[in-house]
Amino acid sequence: MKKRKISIKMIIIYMILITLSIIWLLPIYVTIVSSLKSNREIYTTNVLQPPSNPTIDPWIEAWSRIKRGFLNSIIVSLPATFISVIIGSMAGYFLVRYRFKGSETVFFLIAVASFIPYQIVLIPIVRISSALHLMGTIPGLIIVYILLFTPWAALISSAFFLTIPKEIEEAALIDGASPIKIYFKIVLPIALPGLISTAIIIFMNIWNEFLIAVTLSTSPYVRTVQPEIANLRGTTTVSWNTLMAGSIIAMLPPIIIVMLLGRYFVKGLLAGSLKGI
Amino acid sequence: MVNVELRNVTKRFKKVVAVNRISFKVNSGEFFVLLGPSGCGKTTTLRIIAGLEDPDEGEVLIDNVVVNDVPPNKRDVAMVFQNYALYPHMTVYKNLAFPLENMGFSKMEIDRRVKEVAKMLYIDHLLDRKPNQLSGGEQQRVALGRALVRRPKVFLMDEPLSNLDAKLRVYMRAELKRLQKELKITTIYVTHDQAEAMTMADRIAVMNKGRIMQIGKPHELYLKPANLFVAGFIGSPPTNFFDATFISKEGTYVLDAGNFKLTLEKSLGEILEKEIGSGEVVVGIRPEHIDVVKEADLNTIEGEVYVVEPLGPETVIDVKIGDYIFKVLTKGMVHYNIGERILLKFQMDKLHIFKKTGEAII
Repeated sequence: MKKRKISIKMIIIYMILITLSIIWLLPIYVTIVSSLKSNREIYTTNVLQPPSNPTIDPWIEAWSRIKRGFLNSIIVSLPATFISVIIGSMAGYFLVRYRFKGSETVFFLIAVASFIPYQIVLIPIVRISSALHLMGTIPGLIIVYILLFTPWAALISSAFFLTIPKEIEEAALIDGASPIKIYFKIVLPIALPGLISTAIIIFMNIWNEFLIAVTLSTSPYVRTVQPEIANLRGTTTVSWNTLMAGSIIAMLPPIIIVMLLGRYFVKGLLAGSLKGI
Repeated sequence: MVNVELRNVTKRFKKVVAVNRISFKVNSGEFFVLLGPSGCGKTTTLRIIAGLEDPDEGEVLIDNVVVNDVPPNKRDVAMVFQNYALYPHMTVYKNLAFPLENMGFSKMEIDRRVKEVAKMLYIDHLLDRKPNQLSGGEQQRVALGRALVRRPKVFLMDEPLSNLDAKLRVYMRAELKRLQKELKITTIYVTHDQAEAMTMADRIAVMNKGRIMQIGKPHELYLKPANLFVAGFIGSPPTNFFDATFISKEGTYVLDAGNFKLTLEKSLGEILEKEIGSGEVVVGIRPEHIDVVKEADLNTIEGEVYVVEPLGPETVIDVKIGDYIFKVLTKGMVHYNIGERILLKFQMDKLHIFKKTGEAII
């Protein structure tokens, strides 16, 4: 076997990588360590020091306080992501494949809609939701997220549709397939890695969204996990350990999804850069 | 048995006229080739026949029925694309079965037909593979199989061999021709490669700038090109052209090219005189119709060897005469030094003479 040569360049690259990893992992380390300490220990010891008496009490406490929010987040995020991606991807596909008068304007408007910071439209959203009696309801949150993220889905997925050679769809058409069959049997399976990437991006955004969630969830029964985490802080003293444990619990769904679907995510992001799709 | 006919078909893309009032009829079971340089409208014509493009004017007939309003999935034509357009997420088996599923065949019948076609194309050992696990040649066969499996009314092929390496291309050329003759399916084949067209076609339509320049059997296009474009496009190395003035004087007929003169036979001269009187013409002579001779004679022309390209069974000699460089194709391996002076003699009965507008006189 050929012995691998260690060059100075390699050493430097690895040192940079290791340093960056430490910097990136440090806050996560502190979060985990703090979640296993008592509040007193947190205040008295160095943040980097491992817990002398690990306890899972903060985790139990955090879970009991955020579990409703956690469930609400799942109930809101999954359908909102699913519907945004389905509607958005159809729009994206149509805009990429069917040129019509004004299609470029529509595409431009969708891009603008995606790039406008949504804080700008917060007040109109609240007014409309209130007028439609959707304030403080789960369907209200779902609908608002669908409205906000469908343009994203259209924009992101259109990039993936562009990588599918047009001839493949034409071949299917000549092979006797109907346009609906072509979409579901040919286009969707080929674009699947791209759509999964789109779904992951949108799911993470909805899951982590705070402003809309806190504004629209006027009742504690519909509050999602992010506002609940903010509430964990307490009113008089900050109970850091519970807050940290809650944060980790809230991080888990996106992490699990990326771990399960990560290979599609990478494949999707690489689409078009590889020959022979 | 099915014929295909185009009547005055025009297609515009914004201001560009891609296909300009073209008409032709492909006979039942014929291997018909659309030949032309890139951008000549040949692929657009094929796509119009497939139904992938709508003509702005004119009619498309398949089996004597106007199909302008029939969508591609109802035309019963099969197409092989230049990049094969295989379904990347399906196995070879699924790729071949897809058109049959759309036609509503039973699973058993689909299986039978897929295996039959796979065997015919020698891809039966690849049925479980995905397209990205196949070589270019294998992908090409699968694309062909997907078209064959349906037994369509018409076969449309858009440069199906252009992505293959030279050796495989020559092999597949013969295979395709044999297959087409065996199955007797009316085939319209698009290519820019004149050698491919000449070897495979029953008839060829040469296209340029959206128009049809000439339709005919391969040897007709070679022997009697209708215009300068066809004369220049068919044949390799290409035809040599030079400008000349036709002079008729007291029963002798001469083509004066400035650096050399050619005396024409009486019969040829009379035709030219009748057609144009006298004046400017463009003369074409194929490289294989120029001989290298030892002794000066009437109509021999002296030139200087510019470059020699040995091809093995034959040699191409570029000879400089005045401002022109003539390509001369000779049999066998011959040796000349660059700068050497040699004598050429044109086979006068093989001259092609065109009007300045490009239209053939002889």
